[in-house]
Amino acid sequence: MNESSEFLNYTGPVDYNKIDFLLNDLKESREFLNIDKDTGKRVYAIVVECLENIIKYSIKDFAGKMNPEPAITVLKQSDIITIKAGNAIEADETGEIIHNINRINSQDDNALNAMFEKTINKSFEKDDKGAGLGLMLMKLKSGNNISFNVTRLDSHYNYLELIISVNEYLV
Amino acid sequence: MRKLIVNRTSNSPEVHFDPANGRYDISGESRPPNVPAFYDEIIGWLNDFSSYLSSSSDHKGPVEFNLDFDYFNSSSAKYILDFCKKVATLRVNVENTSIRWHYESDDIDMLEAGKEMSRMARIPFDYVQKDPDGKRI
Repeated sequence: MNESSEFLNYTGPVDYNKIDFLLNDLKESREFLNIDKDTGKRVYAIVVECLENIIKYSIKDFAGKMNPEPAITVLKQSDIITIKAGNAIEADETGEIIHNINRINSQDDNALNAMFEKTINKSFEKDDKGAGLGLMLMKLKSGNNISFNVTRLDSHYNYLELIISVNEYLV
Repeated sequence: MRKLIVNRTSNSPEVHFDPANGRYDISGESRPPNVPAFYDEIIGWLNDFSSYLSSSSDHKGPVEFNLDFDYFNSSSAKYILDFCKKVATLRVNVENTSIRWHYESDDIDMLEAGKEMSRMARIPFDYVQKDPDGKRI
């Protein structure tokens, strides 16, 4: 029988104060403290990038007008920790984000490390939003592809959910 | 040369650059809300320090930058690399300039991140192990 345990489960608006609050919750959860430290650091890094992506890409005045609001969950089942993070995005931005995820997923580790190095050495423009470094890091830290679901909300907005799985190291 | 002291917060590291006392430390967690603004201040100080060293014969002794991160996000990584590149430039003129990269003995990812930073910035790092409680070994 596969037991599951929940590290974090939040739905609602996200700002930088809320990120601090959620990360504290994560770090103090009994389930998080029970996983090995190396895996915990990787999960923490991915959760930070997911929460910051929510701030970068969320529709600023969307939350409160319509459901669904931004959400993040971190669950462990057997030896797999799954991070799900979702938020409403502009329909116009959806294609580019999906293209970036697919491009990152299509790279093996060597190619992705080379892509990360090329990006980190570039000058960032003001509106680069990290230039995809966060998504690259999610795949590199997890060792798995980034899965996603896109749900159409209306003609202007979609809801994007990222799903990242981390295999816990067996000591 | 002025000091640069920035207090640690829940999401940004402590910065303690004090040429008079030979202390150049960044420590803590780096995911500040405005990463470019946070590191622009540090890199701006480093530019001033570089000018000071070029024009002054007062400064003596090594310049050891201690980078002791618990964690840094992907945006910070870009600016930490920029910082290391600036230090590499400084090293051309001030020979005894170095970067000491601190990592917990069981944190292989942080050690590997340091090695990558060192390679990309083209400056050798000294690697300093800490025990898992954060004390230097």
